Amino acid sequence: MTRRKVLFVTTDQQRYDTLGCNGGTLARTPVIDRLAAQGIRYERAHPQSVVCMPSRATLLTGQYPTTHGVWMNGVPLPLDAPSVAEVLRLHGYRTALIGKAHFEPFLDPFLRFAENAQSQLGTRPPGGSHRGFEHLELAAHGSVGPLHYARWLAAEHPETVRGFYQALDAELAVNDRGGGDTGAPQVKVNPVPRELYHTDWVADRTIAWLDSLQGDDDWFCWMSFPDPHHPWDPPQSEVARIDWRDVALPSGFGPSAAERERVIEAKPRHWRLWYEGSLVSNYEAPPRWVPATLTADQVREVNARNAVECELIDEALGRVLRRIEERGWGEDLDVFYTSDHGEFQGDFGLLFKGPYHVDALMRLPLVWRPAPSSGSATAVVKRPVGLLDLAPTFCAVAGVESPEWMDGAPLPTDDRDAEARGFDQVVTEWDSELLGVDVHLRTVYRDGLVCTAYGPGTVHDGTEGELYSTLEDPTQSVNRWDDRAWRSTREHLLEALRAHRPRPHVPKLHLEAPV
Amino acid sequence: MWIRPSGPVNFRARSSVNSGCDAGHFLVRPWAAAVPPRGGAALHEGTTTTLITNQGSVRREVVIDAGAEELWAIVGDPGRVQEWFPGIESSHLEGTARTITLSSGQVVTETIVTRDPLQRRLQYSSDGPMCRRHLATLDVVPIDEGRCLVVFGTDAEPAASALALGGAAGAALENLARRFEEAR
Repeated sequence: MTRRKVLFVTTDQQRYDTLGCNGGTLARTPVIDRLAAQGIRYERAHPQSVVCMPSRATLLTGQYPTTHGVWMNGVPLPLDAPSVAEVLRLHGYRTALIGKAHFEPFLDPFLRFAENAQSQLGTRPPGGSHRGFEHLELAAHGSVGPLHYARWLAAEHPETVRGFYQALDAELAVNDRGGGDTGAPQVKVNPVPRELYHTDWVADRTIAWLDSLQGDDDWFCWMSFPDPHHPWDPPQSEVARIDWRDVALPSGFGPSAAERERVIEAKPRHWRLWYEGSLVSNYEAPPRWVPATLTADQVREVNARNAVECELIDEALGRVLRRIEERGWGEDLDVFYTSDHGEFQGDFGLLFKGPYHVDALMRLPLVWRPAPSSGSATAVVKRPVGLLDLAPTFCAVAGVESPEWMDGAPLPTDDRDAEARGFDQVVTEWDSELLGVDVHLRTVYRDGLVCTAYGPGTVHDGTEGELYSTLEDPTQSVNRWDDRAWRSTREHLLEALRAHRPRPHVPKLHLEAPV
Repeated sequence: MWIRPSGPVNFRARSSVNSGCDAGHFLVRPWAAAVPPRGGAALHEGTTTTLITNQGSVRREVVIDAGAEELWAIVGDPGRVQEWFPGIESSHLEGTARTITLSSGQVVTETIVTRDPLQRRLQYSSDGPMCRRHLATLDVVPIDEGRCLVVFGTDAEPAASALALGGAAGAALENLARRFEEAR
């Protein structure tokens, strides 16, 4: 009997509102919109961490960061960590990961991490699989480094390498160099031909892998696009699709610098310290860039380029889906589309990401188009789900029982199903300890409210918090944490956070690189 | 205050610190030495605008069930580093100059700065990989007759490289501990 195939599509750092099906008006995303119309669109999908490595480890394991142990970027997921890909492989699925992995640090001076060493060995990992994937072809956000895409580009198209933005500067920090028309950080005119850009490369390599399979193979393919994560250097030939001068400012940017500062002032102090350039508590933003200098035009240009990257992803996905149809697998194909975390894109006058648990970073696109042969109904799910629910869903689609080590549960197919199975809340964690600066957050989303409790850290004493109504305050600009009228609501949500006690990873894993 | 009456929210990941930097020293713009402090940067009580370098310092340590001499025989021998440091394929020692070849094929020249068998301290410096300046400090400290603390300090510039080099040093210590454990 033929089993359902799984195409798991992830992007990196993509917000909920960048898709047409979620109300986005800037990028045209007809392929994903069609999948959403044919399947299930989730309106409240949150990551369990708002940075790459912990969030990707959650996607692979179905566990909270506390449990899989990757508590911040730079902490490698242990090689013997559980993996949904391994579960499926052991049940006869052919498995591949094509694009961005990032379960292990990128900065690897001794080339001791398997992902970074893999391209020297080809696409088949030693021993037959790596974290359950029998085929690996890896890429990151640029044209340099040890991964397959960068090596291919350097070998076959060396003239293109220097056209990409250099993501890190000479200090190995996230680069703040500006470019484009507005001098926005991490923006660069990139003359690379579209067909050589990593988005199309990921689709090309996915198609090549699918072409290598037998018609009756069951397969699980994680197609992992590095975009629209910064740098914002899409092929210049495509940039004219959206004139940044026509781009509306996001409502979260606010009407003036004074208003942005007023909003930020009511949040825990690391918000203001970052905004004014006094403290960068995490590695993921350029330390030399001062957010207060961000101009309206820079926001417009970044968002235009981000939207172009989203369109390229949509088109690349369309090519892959057409090939799958040509192979005759379409009726039995489940497609999942999501991202590992979001991006500020100008909200609060900020770009990038960090320990800031608001919708810009937490509310993600999630679409599941079940196999047409399954006869599933279309739905829009408003109740909260987490990325940790994807791994058990893959198991369910494959007809495999979810292992007990998965913290999540198979995604609900509609709100009634969600209510019956207790999808009431979703929790997001943050822990970072970087060169003497530590920050700790725990956030729960429940009943349209988002509540963040802060642990003691370098600039927090453990009494701080944030509380917002996402219904009344969609950009989370009015912090109700200290509002006496909201005291009982706050206590109710904190009770939910106190009850969040996932199994801890023992021993605590070490930070082994900045990213 | 909010959590005390009914017990804490679980912030377990904060239970230990594995990179050894002084928080006050790195509080402000940890990698931003090239940028002069702006006027009035210290807007919040407790924030300091310490003038800093872009150096990072990371300490890792491991307790190994082995005697000090036994450990020093391998840790203190600069020519044996490839036996226990993952990612180093080979080494060649000539006087105080050590050349190591990495898994990537990259060749790095290091200088043995200190080799003190009385303190059981080895230090070496280099300008790579992935850094401008790097000083590694290895100490074998006896705890009792059959047990030692081995400490690996990494001071490097830029600061981000210290995290990657220190991470590798930590993995080397774990590898060393495993090697002694398996030999028993």
